[in-house]
Amino acid sequence: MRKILGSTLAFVYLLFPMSLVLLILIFTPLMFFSDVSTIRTSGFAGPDTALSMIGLSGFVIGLSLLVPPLRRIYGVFPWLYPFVKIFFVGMIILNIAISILNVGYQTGSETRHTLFFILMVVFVVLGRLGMSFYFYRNPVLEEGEEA
Amino acid sequence: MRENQKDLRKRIERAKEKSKHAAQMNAYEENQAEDELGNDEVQQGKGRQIFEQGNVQDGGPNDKGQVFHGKKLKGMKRVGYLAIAIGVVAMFFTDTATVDTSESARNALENQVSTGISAGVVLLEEDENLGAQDYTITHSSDADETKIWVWDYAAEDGDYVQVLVNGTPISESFMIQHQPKEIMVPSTGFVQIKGIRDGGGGITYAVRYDLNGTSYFNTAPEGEFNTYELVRE
Repeated sequence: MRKILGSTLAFVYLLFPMSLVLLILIFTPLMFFSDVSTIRTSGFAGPDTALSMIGLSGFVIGLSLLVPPLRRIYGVFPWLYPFVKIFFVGMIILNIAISILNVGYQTGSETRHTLFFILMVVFVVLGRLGMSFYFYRNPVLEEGEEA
Repeated sequence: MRENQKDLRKRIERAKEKSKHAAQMNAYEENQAEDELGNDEVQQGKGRQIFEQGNVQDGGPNDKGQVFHGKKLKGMKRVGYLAIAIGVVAMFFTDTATVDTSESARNALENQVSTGISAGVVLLEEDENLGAQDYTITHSSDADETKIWVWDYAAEDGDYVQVLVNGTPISESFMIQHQPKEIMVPSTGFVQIKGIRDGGGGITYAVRYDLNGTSYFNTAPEGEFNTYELVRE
């Protein structure tokens, strides 16, 4: 009985909050360049949703990893754990980058725009390098393990 | 005699193997009980199967991902706690300005002017066009300059304004937010607030003058001005 309840809970969790978070994780990198382009061409800051995106994703992913019945999702979809781990870190980096650009474009100054654009690029490069180094030192998959 | 000794040795070896096996099984089940509280029904009878399959070391799920254990489980929990912590920090810093629904706030919205409202107060959840107004502010301040605070009293939706004094911009255009922006202006002359960009629903802003302690709730059409004439008595 408990097994059925656990599985149902995991299924429902996967359907609602988890699939939404997975979409956020997939679309954040895809939308990044168009978001930057929109801000650069309009000259105005875009909507700043970085913190709410990171907050929501953090909660949903954290619960799915800490609550035992929800953790079953990762057993049924073995690729999901490495995916979530890598894309969550990537999403944080890109959202903070967009926030940096937004801060720069909150004031209508060309110098400030250019400065914050450079800051954003530097942050993304350093963030991705840091992420690569971390996952090099702590591989998502152990040697010989399959996703 | 020798046969008896051999038989005895075999029995001892078998007993040793059995006790070793039982100890390993107990250790495994205890570990599982600690790691998977509330999931024991799933575990029953599977420990032996997993152990026999030699699957204990890799930490992977036993079948269809019912359980993770060992190093992998610890790693997942660590990532889980980290994700929750990041979520809490992010939520803590998210702008959650609450709309002021007090009597003085309602009066301020109705009259578009208030002396009882401090800078940064939010009066509306969504932008609402109150109509553009110009004001003449008569004061008795001796100071040459005075502070003004400009903020968005409705939705923080990306409205931009620019402050001009006697027709000359004294600042770059900036996005108005709930957090007030402080600017110094002369205490006499014409202070104009120009609507630069409408983020949606009209450029709703509030401006508070330090010299008379009064806040003005106004709407600036895109590309047009609201003028505040400052006159010393």
